Amino acid sequence: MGRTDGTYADFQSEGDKAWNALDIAGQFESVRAHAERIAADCLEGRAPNVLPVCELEARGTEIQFAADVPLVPSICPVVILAGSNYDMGRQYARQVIEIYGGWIFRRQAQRSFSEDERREMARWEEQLATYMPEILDFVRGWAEGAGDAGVPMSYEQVLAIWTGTLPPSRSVRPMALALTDTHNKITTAAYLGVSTATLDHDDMCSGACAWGEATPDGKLVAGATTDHDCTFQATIVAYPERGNSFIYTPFSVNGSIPVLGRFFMAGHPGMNSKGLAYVHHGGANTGEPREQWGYGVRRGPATFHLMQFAASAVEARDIQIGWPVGDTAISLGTAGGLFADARYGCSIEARAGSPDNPDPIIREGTYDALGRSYSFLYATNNALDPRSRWLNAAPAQGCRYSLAGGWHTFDPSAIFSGDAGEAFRRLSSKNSEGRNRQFYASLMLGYGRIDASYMTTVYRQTGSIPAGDYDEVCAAWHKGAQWDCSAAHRANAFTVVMEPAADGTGRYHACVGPADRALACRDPGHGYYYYDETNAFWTLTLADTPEQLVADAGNTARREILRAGRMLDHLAVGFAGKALLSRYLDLAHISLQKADDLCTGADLPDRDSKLAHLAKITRYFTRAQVRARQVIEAIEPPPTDPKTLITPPVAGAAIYNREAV
Amino acid sequence: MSDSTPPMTTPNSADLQALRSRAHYAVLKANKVLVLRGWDDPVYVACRQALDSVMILLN
Repeated sequence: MGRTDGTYADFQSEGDKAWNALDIAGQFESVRAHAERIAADCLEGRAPNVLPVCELEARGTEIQFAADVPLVPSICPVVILAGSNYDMGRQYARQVIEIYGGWIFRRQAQRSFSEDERREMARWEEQLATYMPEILDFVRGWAEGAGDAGVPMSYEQVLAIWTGTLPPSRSVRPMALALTDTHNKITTAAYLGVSTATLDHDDMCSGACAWGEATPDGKLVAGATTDHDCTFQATIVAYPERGNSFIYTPFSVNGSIPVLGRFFMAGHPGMNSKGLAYVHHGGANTGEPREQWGYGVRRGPATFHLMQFAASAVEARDIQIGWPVGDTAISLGTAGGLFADARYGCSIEARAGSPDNPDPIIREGTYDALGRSYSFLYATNNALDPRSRWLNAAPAQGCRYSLAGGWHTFDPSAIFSGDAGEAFRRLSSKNSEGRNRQFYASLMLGYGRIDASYMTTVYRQTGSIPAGDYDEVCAAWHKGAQWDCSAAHRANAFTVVMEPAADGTGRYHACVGPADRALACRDPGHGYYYYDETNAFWTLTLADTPEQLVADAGNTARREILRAGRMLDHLAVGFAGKALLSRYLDLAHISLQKADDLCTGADLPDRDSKLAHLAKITRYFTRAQVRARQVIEAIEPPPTDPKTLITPPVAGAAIYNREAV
Repeated sequence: MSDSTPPMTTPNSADLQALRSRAHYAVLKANKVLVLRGWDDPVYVACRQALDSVMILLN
């Protein structure tokens, strides 16, 4: 469908055939009918017929295609970069094309720019040259690498991915509306159709972190989700010749999310070898006086820069206060966000006055009703600081505030009193309030014991939807009722738990989609579902060298395969899922074997080839890990309620009733 | 006057988005029923695979 209405505009070539709208309508109806039949069969205890589908093929890439439609991989690919920023840009383009194929950048490679757009890009480029010139080196390298891999791209075409081609916004707008491409009527129609006509958006995200006395060992632990229909992304492992090594996942490999639009290579989360984490974008926007809005540094390049060069959360904070306020009216248009290390965390909600006369709004902890401070922070898609009342397009009468939920409004007349962009932000405050309460309650409950397992369980804990017919419950929500929703829900596109470490050995656990298949929706909406959905994480440990990182990924894969095999052996012969789980274990063995085959006998001529080779091995190892963990977690389901990890309660731990905060 | 069925109007973008949304909701409801069962149940395994084949079309 994206080919017809343009919602996949940045993922298709202009030369691709347009699909017949009637055919597409027929396919959607077919999906609906089959899904309803499966639901009925499942309810009545019958095995359904499997829908005959076209054969999947790889077409020389590492993903699968159904007919000629690429499928989002259910295990996130990894790229490994090293050297100068120019080198890393070149390696990035080459490895991304190796994974996905040339189509992934072809649309961007076909873009042409008007004089106005060139002028705008030059203004954004000037900001990058001033504050983070290494990004421009990465851009140059990307253009060269794409050309080497058969997709010629100009410097300008790659630069547009990082800067956009529009001037700073003068009004509050979410990404989709703000980034409507006026030179592409197809895209415009799609964005308007999706965002202003229905406002039925599932595209949010979340992040939480705890450190110091909140965690058993005082180290930082963090979790985050991106929330949209997961797209073609890759986790970047970078070993720059200057600065820190880091792991970071942009929302997609080409700077665009279908339906949502362009986002300048932003994403989350990331962590570096100094133990600094960029957890999440922080959720707050537009807290600076309108007259200060203007050019600055976009969130994507800012995050790359801070991961590479900041040694602590304090340093990340101070660097950003030294940057211009920037394009704050659109999501991810400027710097900011939630950063933490083992000693300090901060969520930058606004940078008013930066850089000359800064008066920022920064949260540095979470407070209880008595004003006591706790060493954890969380953020979703609203503002949480008591000073942030008027952020995020608050209605004229202002928002309501709660200690755990932050600034929000449930009132439909207030939500829809402005334009679509404002309504989008206000609706976000409503579903954020429930997710924030869940974070507050879970992190207070586990205070002192929040480790990676605990954080992962927080991200497996479903919210609750009021009892009753789903359509009626949704109708009540639209009239102003609230749900006890969770940051873990069916619109999670990518779920990550991080254990950053200052000695450069932090661990990054990543799962495409939600971490549990049974999660409920966050608010009225359908959420998203994936072909071959795994709900399982791979793990990478940052190390001194790419070779060490790859070796560790292999050891994890071998360990998990062994464990999965033992568990499978102990299953009863008649266990219903045994055959399918055995197939998953076979896939794990096949991936491990392919990785091991690649580990021997390679004699590669240059560093780019060696890194591409290491990245490919890593992808096999991570696939092996995920397949093995699918088996393990099917047989021994992991906990989905943090409370079960806190028995007996820690003496003195704060126990909070979620409904009471 | 012809009594043949008039040709179906070509759906526009909003129509397609509505149809896509209905398909997603049907998958949501199927998944909600599915997760009430577990891996030790043959109906779960069969329905999980059937739903996966549907997801290829919706991807």
